[in-house]
Amino acid sequence: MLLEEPITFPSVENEEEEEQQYSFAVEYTGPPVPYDLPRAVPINVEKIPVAAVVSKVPLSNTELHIPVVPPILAPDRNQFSKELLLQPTVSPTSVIAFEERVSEDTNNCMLSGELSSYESGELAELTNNGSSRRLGVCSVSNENSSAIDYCDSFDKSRESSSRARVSNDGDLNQPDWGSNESVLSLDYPSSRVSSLKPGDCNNESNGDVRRPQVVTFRDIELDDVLDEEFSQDEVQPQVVRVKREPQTKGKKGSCYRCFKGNRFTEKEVCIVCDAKYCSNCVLRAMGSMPEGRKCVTCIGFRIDEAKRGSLGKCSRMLKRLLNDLEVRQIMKAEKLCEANQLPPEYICVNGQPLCHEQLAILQSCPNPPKKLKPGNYWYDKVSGLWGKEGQKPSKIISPHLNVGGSIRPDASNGNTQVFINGREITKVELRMLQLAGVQVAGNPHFWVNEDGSYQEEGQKNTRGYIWGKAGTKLVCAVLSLPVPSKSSNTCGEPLSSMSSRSVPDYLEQRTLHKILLVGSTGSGSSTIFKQAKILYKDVPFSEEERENIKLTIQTNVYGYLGILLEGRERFEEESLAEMRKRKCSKDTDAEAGSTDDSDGKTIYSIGPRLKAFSEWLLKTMVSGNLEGIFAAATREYAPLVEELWKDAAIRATYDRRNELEMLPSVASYYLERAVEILSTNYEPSDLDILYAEGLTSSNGLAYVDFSFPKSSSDENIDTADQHDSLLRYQLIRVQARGLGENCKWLEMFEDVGMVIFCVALSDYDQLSADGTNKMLLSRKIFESIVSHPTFDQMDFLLILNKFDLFEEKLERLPLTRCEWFDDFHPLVSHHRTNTNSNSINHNPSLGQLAFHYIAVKFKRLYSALTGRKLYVSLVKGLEPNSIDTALKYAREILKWDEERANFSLSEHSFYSTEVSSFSH
Amino acid sequence: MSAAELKERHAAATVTVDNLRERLRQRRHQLLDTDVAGYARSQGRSPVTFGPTDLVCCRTLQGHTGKVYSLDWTPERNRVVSASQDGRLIVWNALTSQKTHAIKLPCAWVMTCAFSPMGQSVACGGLDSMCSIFNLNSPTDRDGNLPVSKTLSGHKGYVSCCQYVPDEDIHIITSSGDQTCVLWDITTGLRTSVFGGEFQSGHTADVLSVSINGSSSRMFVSGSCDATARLWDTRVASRAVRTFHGHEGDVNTVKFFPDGNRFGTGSDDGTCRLFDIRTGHQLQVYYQQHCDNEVPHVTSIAFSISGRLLFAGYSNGDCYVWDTLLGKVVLNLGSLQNSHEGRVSCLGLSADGSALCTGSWDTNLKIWAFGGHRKVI
Repeated sequence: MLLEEPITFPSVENEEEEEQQYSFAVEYTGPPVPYDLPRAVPINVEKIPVAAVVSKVPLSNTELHIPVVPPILAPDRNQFSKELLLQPTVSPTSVIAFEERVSEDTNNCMLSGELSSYESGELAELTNNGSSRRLGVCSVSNENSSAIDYCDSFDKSRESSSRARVSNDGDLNQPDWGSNESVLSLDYPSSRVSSLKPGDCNNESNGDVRRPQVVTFRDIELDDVLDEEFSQDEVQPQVVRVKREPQTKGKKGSCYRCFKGNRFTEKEVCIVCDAKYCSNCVLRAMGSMPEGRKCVTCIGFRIDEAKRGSLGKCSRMLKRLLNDLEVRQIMKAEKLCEANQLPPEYICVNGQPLCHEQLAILQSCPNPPKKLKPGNYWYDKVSGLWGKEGQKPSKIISPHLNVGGSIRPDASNGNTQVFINGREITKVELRMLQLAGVQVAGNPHFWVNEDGSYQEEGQKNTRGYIWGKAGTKLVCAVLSLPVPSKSSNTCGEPLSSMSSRSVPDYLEQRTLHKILLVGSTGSGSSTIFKQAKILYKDVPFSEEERENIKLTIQTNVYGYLGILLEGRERFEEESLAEMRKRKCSKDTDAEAGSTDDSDGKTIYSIGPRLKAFSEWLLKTMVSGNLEGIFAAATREYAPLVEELWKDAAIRATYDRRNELEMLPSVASYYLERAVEILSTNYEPSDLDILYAEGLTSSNGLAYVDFSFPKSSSDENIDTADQHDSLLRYQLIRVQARGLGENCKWLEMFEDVGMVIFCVALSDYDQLSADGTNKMLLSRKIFESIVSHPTFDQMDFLLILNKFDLFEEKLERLPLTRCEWFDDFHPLVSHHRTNTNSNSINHNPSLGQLAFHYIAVKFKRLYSALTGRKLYVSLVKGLEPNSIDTALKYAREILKWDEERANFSLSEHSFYSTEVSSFSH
Repeated sequence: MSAAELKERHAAATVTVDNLRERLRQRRHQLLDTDVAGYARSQGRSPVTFGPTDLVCCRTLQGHTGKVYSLDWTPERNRVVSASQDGRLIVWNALTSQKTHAIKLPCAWVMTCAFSPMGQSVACGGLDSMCSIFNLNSPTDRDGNLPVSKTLSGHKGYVSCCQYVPDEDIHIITSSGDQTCVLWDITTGLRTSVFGGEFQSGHTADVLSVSINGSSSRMFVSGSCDATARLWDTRVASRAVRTFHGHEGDVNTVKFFPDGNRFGTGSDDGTCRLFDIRTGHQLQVYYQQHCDNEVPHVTSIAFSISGRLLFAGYSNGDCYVWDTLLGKVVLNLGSLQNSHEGRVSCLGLSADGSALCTGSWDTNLKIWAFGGHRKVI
């Protein structure tokens, strides 16, 4: 049975707020009501969470829009309340609808009036004056009411939401073992969530019910909260948070846990809820203090802003209880953990709340504002002047920080009609300017730079320096105006290079996008990694790395030489055998064999000294400790190498290098310059490093942190893109070894944003050591990684690498050499005679066709395995631009992925089409 | 000798070895007339029972922000080191549940950590293929980080497990994804011996775990992805003393029995097994049938001081306490109040056996101890 009227509560009487009334609307299914009021859990009034307003949130500029209540006709409350219960993310409009319905149901039109009285200013006052009037989302529950999911909006922390969601009766009394008693009260959702005053409720439980019911909503906050949930954005709007109250409170002055002691016993205070614990209880109540001195139940909550000053300063009691190291760790955690940081949206600069990155910029600049408290500030980006909204400047901070909006003329509420950098200055400043000898007659508009030089608007020449006179600073001190700090002048280039600045730990984790780069051996994933390093790092390789690289390259070159020498021996034997055969035939033919070449000399023969060297080299290669000896050998054998390289036999062998299968294609790049490379003072160039094999393969894992440099085209798109240059990416390359199906460590990479899988196109005819086709091997690894449970729902970007080699090879060997590609029958155009001139669109080359064919093969495989879409990019590993393009493509995918979460409800289709058109 | 001929002979030899192995298995099977549990039952032994407060979670060590992968106790004092995916090692005081050190690692992908016998330094290893040693007494650098005091590099695959050789701070044994175990001299930073690898008697897949015999520290066992455990003598690196077959999945963890004559294993096949190093026999299989077909992997095991109890962590968040004698589960820590919410990835018993520490993917560590009348804190 469904009652049309909501269960009503007698409204709450308050000393100050007589008119403040509460009610709630809920589905009622019980028997007809004889107006027995539901009993609320008796709870002390003091314990009820109070909605705390951010101390000085700017309300002057926020656009509070008061919801208009249009009449609505279908009060389908049943359906609605379900909706409300099931979906914590109701759209803002539906909330308004809710209000309407309720107001109509209750036949009371006080709502609109009530709402309109909620001016923003009042909001702040109401909560500030400490009255027990509750603001907040008025979701009221009686004791059998089902879940009210709005608790989300109060506290975002995972702990509370996981606990507080439980709100059925049965769970109320569930004990929370082992930790401590104070947890218990957390389980009373009504006490925490509802804005109803249970105490009052209790008092009046037998009272009359004639009072009209009013549902009041804090519309703006609700909107914000919903928006926030809706967008799942990191940046939280100015939500007025419920101040956490300690769950239990004994008599005044006693410990909150054991209720013993008095005012004079030493106690430690929770920085969130102000609970005080004696020395016996503090460790039980606060546990291991991962975020500093907080009750176990308060972990994850924001701290009481009033206690921000005491962060990192612990009481003597704690020092006595714990040893130095422990205290230090706690204080460090307290100061540095994410939950305790100043929420950036509490700080408004030039009327715009900050985001995390901006706050980080502000705090990490060389000359930061001191003791930043929540509030409204103005900031003059040109001169670095900084002050509270509506007040004179209080400090000169580092200029040119990209924080907040643009400065407004009335930022400091001046009325002098003299402007500095577009801000009307205050009288005190004007006075200072006059004393500093600046001509201020005629209400001039000045540009003041950070060094104090000023000029009039629209004029080029500098008129002078404000701080030039010695007396100016004294005047400033008298007028309590800021003067530039010394350090601000010394830092020449303030903040143009964002990438180099240090980011706090907690931010680092958040802003870092991890990209995993994998590929089978020889797929060129290490080349891509090195390219990324060269592309995006100012110093791609450190001295130490270069030294190692040099050694590796030199070892490799010795290896190539060894292969050459081996080839030489073979060629020598072959030609000797041939000679002998020829001689034999000559002997039998003519019997008069000349003995002039019988000493076995061919063009492949070398002198004894070189022979000894070659034998030694081959021997060490066989024994496998090539790396071990070459540091010393380089010096000793460098001249010998030169001699060897000049030897005709080697040159002859080198000319036949195509017949040496062991010799990798890059070998000729190094061998051409063997003498130079093997000298002791060789410095590998970036290109040398790029070509070098096996640089990162010895160690399983390599990673590089980078951010994409701002390109000129990016700059003028919009301001949102400015954050892009702040986003940091981490490219992690792991070796393919052991990427089997049962790979244990792949689950460590579950936090990566996407996986780049690298395949060498030119592998299609190559065989691996055990005789299987390398392309098929890549496919196998690809399959096992893609279907790995860790990478469920992960985006994959397939990089088809070595396109240059591939094109070249395709001319000689058909793609069908690989059995996977046996149905590749390209439609070769008849007009392909002039391959160089025609455009790709009309007449794709064979390589392009084959690439698309292979890409489709992989895409089909991928969608068969996962049912999703594979992104593919074509890359020439040795060309920086193509790597850059591929990695930027990866960035787009990541970005899109983030946005998809925001738009999953409404614009999904739009986005998916866009991306599919973007991909190849 | 041509390549074809070689191949042929190799194939023939493989067949012979397989035959011999099969015969060995059959013979073992023949000789093994009972297991521990069967014998104990026949002797009329009754299983251990647990009261409701006999093992309770008395501390929760919060502080990691990533999955906890490994933990280790100090031998003498109540300290624990834990390694987590957030790239940190944290040294805890298990009594006060406070951190004493938080070490930010140069390579965040850490898989294992160990406390030195003297409690002066900790070691860790991971995907960077190196084992890094941190001296806890060394001064911190400008950012408050503890510098690496030694890196042991030489492995060609990830370092999956490391354990100090008891009673000396200078030797450590690591296992690695390159199929080898290595005994290191920490003072020189060089490999003393390499176990496995090129030799036929070594593991044929990634080695995941090592455990050093507590009573004679020259013996150690290793467990591997090739589903075997091998016993090694540190003086004879060339070949494994014995290979223990039986598991049907990767052996994730090995742990010596307190008496040093047996060791336990835990595997992806969901079983724990007890092997005898003298006879080479498998003494007992510990396996709990699950109602659904999902078989949780055993991630980590530990024995109580007496050896009567075997603690085993599972990938589904369970943590069973087995009665080793009767092969029965006597308690599931995962079903208790305050248990972990994620996979139990590692566990360890304190040196005096009074407390069990479990680490989980839910980023927390928990200390379990007797919860009776003893006053805690």
